[in-house]
Amino acid sequence: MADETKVDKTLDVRGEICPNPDLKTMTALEKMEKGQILEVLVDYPLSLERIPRNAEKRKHKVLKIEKVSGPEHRILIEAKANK
Amino acid sequence: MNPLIFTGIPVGLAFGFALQRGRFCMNSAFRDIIVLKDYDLLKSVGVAILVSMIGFAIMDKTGVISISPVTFWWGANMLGGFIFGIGMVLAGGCASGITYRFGEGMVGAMSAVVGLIFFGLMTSVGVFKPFVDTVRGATTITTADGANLTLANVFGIPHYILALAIAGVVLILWAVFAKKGESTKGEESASLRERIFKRGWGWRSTGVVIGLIGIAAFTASASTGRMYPLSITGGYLSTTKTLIMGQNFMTWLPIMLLSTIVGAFLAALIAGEFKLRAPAPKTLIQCFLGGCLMGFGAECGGGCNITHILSGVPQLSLSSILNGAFIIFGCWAAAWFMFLRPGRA
Amino acid sequence: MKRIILLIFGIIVLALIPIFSATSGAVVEVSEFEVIRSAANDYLTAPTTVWNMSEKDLCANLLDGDPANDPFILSIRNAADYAKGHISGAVNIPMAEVFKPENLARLPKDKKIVVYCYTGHTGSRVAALLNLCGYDASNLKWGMTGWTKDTEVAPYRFDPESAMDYPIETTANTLTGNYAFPTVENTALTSEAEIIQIACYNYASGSHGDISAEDLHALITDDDPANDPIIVSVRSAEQYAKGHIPGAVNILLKDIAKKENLQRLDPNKQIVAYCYTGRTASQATAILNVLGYNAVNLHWGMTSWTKDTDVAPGGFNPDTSLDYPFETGAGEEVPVAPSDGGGACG
Repeated sequence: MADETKVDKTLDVRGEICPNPDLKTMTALEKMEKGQILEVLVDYPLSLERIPRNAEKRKHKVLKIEKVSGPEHRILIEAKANK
Repeated sequence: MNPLIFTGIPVGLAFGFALQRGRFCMNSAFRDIIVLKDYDLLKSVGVAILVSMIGFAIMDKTGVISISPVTFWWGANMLGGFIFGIGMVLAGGCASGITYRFGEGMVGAMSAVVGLIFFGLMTSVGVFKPFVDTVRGATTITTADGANLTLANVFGIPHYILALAIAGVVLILWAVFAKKGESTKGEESASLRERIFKRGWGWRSTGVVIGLIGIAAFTASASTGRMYPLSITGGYLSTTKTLIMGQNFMTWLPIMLLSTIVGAFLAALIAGEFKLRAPAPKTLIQCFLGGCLMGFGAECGGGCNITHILSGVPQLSLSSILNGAFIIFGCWAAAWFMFLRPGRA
Repeated sequence: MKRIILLIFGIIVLALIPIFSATSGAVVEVSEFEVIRSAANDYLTAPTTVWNMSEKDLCANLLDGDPANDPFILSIRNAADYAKGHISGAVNIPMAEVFKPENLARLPKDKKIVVYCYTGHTGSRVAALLNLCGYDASNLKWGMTGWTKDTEVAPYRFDPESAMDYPIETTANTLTGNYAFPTVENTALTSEAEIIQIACYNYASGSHGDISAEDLHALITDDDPANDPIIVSVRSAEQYAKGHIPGAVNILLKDIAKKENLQRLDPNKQIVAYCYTGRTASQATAILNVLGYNAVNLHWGMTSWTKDTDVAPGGFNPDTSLDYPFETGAGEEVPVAPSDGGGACG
């Protein structure tokens, strides 16, 4: 499925155990410039729910959550302004 | 063989289903407080304890069950709890966490379960037993007539009065201080079927359902003579002993535990969340070691986090409150060391 | 969750407190089990409790020329054996009848009672239960077999040669698990005294044999763990550490009625209690049975399990059984006179 959104960074945390998917995502977002798009590939249901929740709490913007196959999902997040 | 032990099957299936749907893991609940500043799972645990506390109090007062706390051996509770807390951070999950993720197909969780069983057996019947017995023996405190300590008998208040008072006050405080408008997103468009089987459950539903399952568990288990609600580690150990020694140790608890794994598996399957997936080999070893620490900690302190925090705290058990507190301390210590200390990513 | 709903729940939960206290006023709060357990625990933990009295002491007491301090002597054997010979002044009430209210009424509450039987096993049980019923009773240690060597009068003597040579274990065992207490429902009466008396009567009038060492050994060595009883040693911790029956746990007699220990006993399983010689455990057995557990005593205790006197001290020595006087017939009040052979009290 073609996606028009230009992804600036892809983070593949599939297979990782709790809480690595979340930590790596938050750290990556913090290092990005405002407006940049992070693509996260995750297959851990708890992180799938927690990442969007925590991203929004930190004022990032969740653009899209889409299922790839089985538990694998793809999350697109736009980073907010940092420092 | 008492046919009532098979009541463990529906209880276990429901428990496993709810654990997976609610992502119920106390390791995440406690660790996320400091590492991610996320509190949803903690709230699930709180609600479950609250619901069970009310249910147990009513059942005890009406004679359906008897409050039966684990013995207060403060030395073993502190040591066992702390080590268990460290272990669950390494393993990436608490006892219920690794169990439901086993059902989800996560090999890391399976590795942790193996460690749990290995060190659990070494502590309950093997080389660590004499040490643990000594620690327990030296630090046991009971009431004057030999009963195990609860907040109720320590303060001399009938159990149901104290438990209901605490629960009622908490409910009222919650009503007063709850933040407005915290409903989960996207709920408006989803059907009930979707919300039960396809999407993850919110913290309120999860807490209530698991609290109710705890109540059902206590009743079912009591009918077989085992006067205690949900536990996990003991189920793994009894199952393993049955397989290894060829003698039958399959009572209510191990039957319930095996059903829990099946329930979690079915929940994952239906939601399309089942997949056999493994982390890097280094992580697998870490999970195994974490499981070992959990096994030792559980058999030293008299139970895992489910036995103490989910089943013991609602009974106002002193040993569970102490053990639970130290599980949290161990968890925070390990989480700080692994994730937060300066120099770590 | 809407605030209102939470608030309503909170109020309902708090309201349950007065509702429950009001309704429980009329109902008997304490279970029969708890009434009996409390009484048993008080007896076992009282510092003045004397479980066994030696024959020497009893004889000295009877012969000291002061009848006022003589205890009430209760024989619980059957009438025929009592007639063949009994301790002077003893009253006979067979075990099955002792706890009938009309017989209990014949026993003094202001005097010490010494109970004796054939060998000390059943006397122990009756003594224990009499204490639960509010009497001050002790068991005559070896029963009639300690009082006289005459086997016509005192049959069923212990033969040290009959002791087995079964294996002993030194590693400690503990009971885990949390069980419900047995439900004791003997009577609709609610006074504590009656609840205890009826439980004692039910036990004492029923059959309650001891288990032999051979039978116990067979149960634990057959390949069927399902029929293995819970084995409880009521001996001291030091003696337990020196050697105990394989699989046995250690609970002192004085602790046997504590909730913490009782709740570890599976009420669906048979319990075998044992001690040094069969008497102390007899008390434990009686108490466990009136509490609703299924308990039997190991006849002659550890001394029947092994010949090793380090592991099983205190055994009955047939040579030390004495030659105290006894009287015959159905309770004629013949004053005690020192017999020609025995002289004074050993």
